Amino acid sequence: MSLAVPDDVSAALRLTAGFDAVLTQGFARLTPAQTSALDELADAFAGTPLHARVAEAVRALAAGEILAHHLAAVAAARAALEGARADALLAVAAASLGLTVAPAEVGPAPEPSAEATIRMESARQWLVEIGLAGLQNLDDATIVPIVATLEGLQAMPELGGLSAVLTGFADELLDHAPTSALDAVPARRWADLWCHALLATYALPEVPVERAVRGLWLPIGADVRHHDHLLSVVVHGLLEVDGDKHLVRSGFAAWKVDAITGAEIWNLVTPQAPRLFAALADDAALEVVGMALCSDGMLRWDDAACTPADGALDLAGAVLHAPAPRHRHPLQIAVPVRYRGEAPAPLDLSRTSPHIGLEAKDLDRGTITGLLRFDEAFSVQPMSAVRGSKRFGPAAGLAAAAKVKQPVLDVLRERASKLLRK
Amino acid sequence: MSSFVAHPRPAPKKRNLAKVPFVEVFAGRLQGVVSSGSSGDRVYVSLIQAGTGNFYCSTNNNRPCGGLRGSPCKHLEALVTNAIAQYGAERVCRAMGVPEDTASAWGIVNALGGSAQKVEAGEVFARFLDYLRYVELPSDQQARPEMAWFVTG
Repeated sequence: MSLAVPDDVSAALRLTAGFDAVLTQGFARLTPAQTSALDELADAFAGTPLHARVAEAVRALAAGEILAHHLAAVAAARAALEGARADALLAVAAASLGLTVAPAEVGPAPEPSAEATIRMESARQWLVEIGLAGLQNLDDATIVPIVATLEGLQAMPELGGLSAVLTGFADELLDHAPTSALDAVPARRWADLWCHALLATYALPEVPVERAVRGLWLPIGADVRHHDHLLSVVVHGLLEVDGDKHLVRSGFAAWKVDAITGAEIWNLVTPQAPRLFAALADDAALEVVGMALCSDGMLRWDDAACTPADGALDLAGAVLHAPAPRHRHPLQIAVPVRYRGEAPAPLDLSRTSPHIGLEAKDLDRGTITGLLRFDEAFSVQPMSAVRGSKRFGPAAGLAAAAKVKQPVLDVLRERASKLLRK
Repeated sequence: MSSFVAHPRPAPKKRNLAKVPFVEVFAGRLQGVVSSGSSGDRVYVSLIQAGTGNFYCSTNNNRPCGGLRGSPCKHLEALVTNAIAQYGAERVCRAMGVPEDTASAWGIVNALGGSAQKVEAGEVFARFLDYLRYVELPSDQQARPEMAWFVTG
């Protein structure tokens, strides 16, 4: 089976691009051409429950009635389109790799607390201002007001997802202000972030159904993601339970500062699960008992609930869990692959963290472990490599992290104490 | 521009963290905290404005830096040098509004050609405290799929 991109998936990109051009210019000054791009987006939903709301929102926006819920309706249309593309692409990836896709079953989202609601409204207000101004017309005066909102968001664990995306988006906009000076804004990327954040200001995510499991867990690799203020390490593993193999993920997140770089980043997450990270470094199996497996493939890791075990990794025939509804997006396609010789898709290091120390030269021979990704074409994001007794990636990074002599945080705290003295 | 992957940034180079524990480009200003060369107990707050190049350096209780006599002091040099290490010359020059071929500390300062203009040290100090706030926030065991968008910083 090949990794060909279905025609409909490519065709739908035109509708997304139409929306992105509007957001780039700003909703405050819609031209007739832009209005018709939005009309086209709305028309794509003819015959679906979303159609009436999106069409009504486009009419209102065209008439200059730029309210948050109208922007949210068109953002929801764009998100639904990306969701449909993601579903189709996931099916192609699974078929090509011999995996079975299992849909994510979710329960209702919890209601946000009163305080969380206020924070969400504040974030939404800023996103509306960004939408009005347009991605290519942002300066410090438009962007900086989010800084105070972020502090409130970050203090609320229930808003962790919104905080993560909004903090990274704000960091990136501040870095690029004034955006009018850019040759071209990264329209697709920023429109993604804007839409995701805007929709996240309306409701907390739905909760995937979970069940307690007992089985053999084998580490596959670690996907290390970060922006200036947050680190997220997702450890991919294979869980054999009741005769079935599941591709599972366990997540670890830590807020950080940009002075923490290189191997030292591992020290932000390893205390959360020492046995898991040791198993990842040693490529060793673990028996897990009573951990919660969520329907989106999340294995809620409990480091006290695992013991050493034996097993060899074989990904063929595993169950690939589809993401929860909020995360149906081509960006979220991350299917583990391990191979020697010919790669299932071209290697692409653009999504491999510079902090894990994996370089192109480490990947020309040996066994490569990576994630099948999609960015208008399939590619493999390498996570680690093994050549003879040499291991590149987390194994080397985790070993180096354990030897850090003067942690960045110690230096920062000591220096800050001098400032606090009168 | 139809990719959702961020434009790659060079990985930060090693900087002298004890000398410059805090540096940032924020709202049109390169600013940070620089340790005194003579006393381990003293730290300075230094900053330089993008565009105008106006600069200032003082202790945290607003006593002007003795090295500042009308021209930039060595704390400012350390600040800019470490900003280049952390963020790369391209990013610092772009933020400061100077051509990239001026990418050394004095090159950037001279290209801007500003003068000393007092700024309350508290403004920068508050940003350092905000920076440190992040390391006190609790970590958690969440997958944070939203982070799939980010791989720089």
